[in-house]
Amino acid sequence: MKLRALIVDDEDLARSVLRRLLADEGGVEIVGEASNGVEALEAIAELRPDVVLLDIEMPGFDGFEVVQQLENSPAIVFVTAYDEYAVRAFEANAIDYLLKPVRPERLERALGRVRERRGSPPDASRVREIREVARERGGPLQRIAARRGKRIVIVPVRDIIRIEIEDKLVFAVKENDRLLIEKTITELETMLEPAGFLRISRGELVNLETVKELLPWFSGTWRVKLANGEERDVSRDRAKQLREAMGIG
Amino acid sequence: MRWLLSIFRIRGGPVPLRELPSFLAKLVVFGAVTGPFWAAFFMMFGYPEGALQIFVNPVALFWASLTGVIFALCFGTVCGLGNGYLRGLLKGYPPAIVGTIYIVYNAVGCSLACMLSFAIVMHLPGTGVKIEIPFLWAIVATDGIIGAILALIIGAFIKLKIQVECTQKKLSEMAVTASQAQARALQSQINPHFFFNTLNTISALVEEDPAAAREMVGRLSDLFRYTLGCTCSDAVTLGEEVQFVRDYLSIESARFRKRLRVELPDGELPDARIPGLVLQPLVENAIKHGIAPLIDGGSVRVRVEGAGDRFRVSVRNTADEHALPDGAAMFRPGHALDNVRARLRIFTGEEEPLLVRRGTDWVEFSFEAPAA
Repeated sequence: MKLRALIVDDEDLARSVLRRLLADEGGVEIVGEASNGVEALEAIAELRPDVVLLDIEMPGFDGFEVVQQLENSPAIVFVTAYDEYAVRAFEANAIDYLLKPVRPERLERALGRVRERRGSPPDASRVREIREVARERGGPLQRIAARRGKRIVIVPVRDIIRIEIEDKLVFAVKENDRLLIEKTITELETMLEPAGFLRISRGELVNLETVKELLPWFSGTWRVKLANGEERDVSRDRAKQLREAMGIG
Repeated sequence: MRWLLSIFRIRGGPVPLRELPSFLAKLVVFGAVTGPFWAAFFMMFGYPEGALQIFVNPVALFWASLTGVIFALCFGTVCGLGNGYLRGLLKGYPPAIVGTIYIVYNAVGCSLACMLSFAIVMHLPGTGVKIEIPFLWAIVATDGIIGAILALIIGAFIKLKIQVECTQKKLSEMAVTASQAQARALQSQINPHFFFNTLNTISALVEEDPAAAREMVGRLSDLFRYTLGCTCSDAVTLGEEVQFVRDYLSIESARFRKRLRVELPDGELPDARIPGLVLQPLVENAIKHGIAPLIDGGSVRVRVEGAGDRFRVSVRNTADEHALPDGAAMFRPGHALDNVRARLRIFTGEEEPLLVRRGTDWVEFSFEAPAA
């Protein structure tokens, strides 16, 4: 069975090199191409490729931001022209990467490793490792993808006041806007925790930056007052963590 | 002179204990040698016929030398040792005050040492030194003046020396800064990221469009030749620098395609020189931080505007309005912009030669320089 590959690079010519090399390689089917981080997320969700050749320097979301937003991540092979720190991290964690200009034998080797791992159940620790490296290199997630109608839009994380669930759908609440996010609240909790978000109840995350007041409420629960004036309930088991995070533990 | 300075201790701190014997020995030698000359000098005013006697009569010579030694020891203890402590005490005061204190202190010290040494010599058993009191006062006063003059001369000498050292240090520091800035400029010009991406582009073009590949190899070579040949200490002509940027942008355009729109100065450029490799880093910065993060790309506009004997070079680029950087982040030490600013500073002598302006969705860097 052929490997289903997605090529992600913002440069037409860089994509055409990979296209050519993959065609020579054989045993690979190119299922799609994306020219920026937003397109990459869409294509991965839609096409479910086996492997993504992912450029790091891209507009929209860079390669590291894309990886941090993937849940059921396909195999990732990073592609970069020059990033010595990233390369060191890739080496240390046995993460597949290619350097531009890409040499056919390197590509073959990377795809060989992807093939070897294929079929075996996805290794959760490996996915976590890649995400860890991505976070170290890119820092906490600055922007996330949200949906407005059919379009994917980029939302700066600092503009999000809180995340809520309504009718099983997850929304990012901004000052004058609410955007659909196609993730579970637990996925978002993992993704956004390094950026300063905290779960305050089963269905809600808040951006700690926007918390203005913390008020004791009934029977061990608390309430938070947010920058936009809203007040939200904090469940009993989350109150302690919130107080600690606010430095009033 | 150094020997003399070490006796007066105007230089250096207090005499360390283990150097005390050699310090005293120096005083004894100094006193024994200069004593007869001092004695002869003073006797010229009272007993001119006796002045010559000092160098003829061994007894007179002995007493003149002994007086010199005792004077030197008295003076060395009072002024020499004192000056050493005074230096530490007066640290941080304005030079005028320090100078005045030195002069007064040495004048008084010299007079006291003179009185003390004569008092000792005149009361030694079998003394050969006899001085009438009014004449003694004249000698004491003269000694005081000599002490003050000595302090003045030595002080001026030291001040001069310090100034020369300071200037030299400053000059060499400036030279180091300048050469470091230039070295960094050389190293950073062909950014490795740009270099490898260009090679990648070329490797794509080799099959798709061999003529374009050849063209790009040529341009990359020209870029390298320019950065290798440009020693940066020399100014280059504005035309050369603009051509360099033109080549650079044509390569970037091949990579970014429709995402990069370029506007370069056309027509006659002012006949002027600017430091080499200051324009290209501005353009590179515009692409890296302005255009590259934008999904739909944007434009980079390089303009040269002349106004009389000055001209202005500006680089303006589209930028994400949500991600306009602040000044401090732009001029991180070691960053290309910081380097450009440092070299323009040396070239123009202005404190802030690089002007940053920004609008809602653009950033512009500009600098001015004199036309030839």
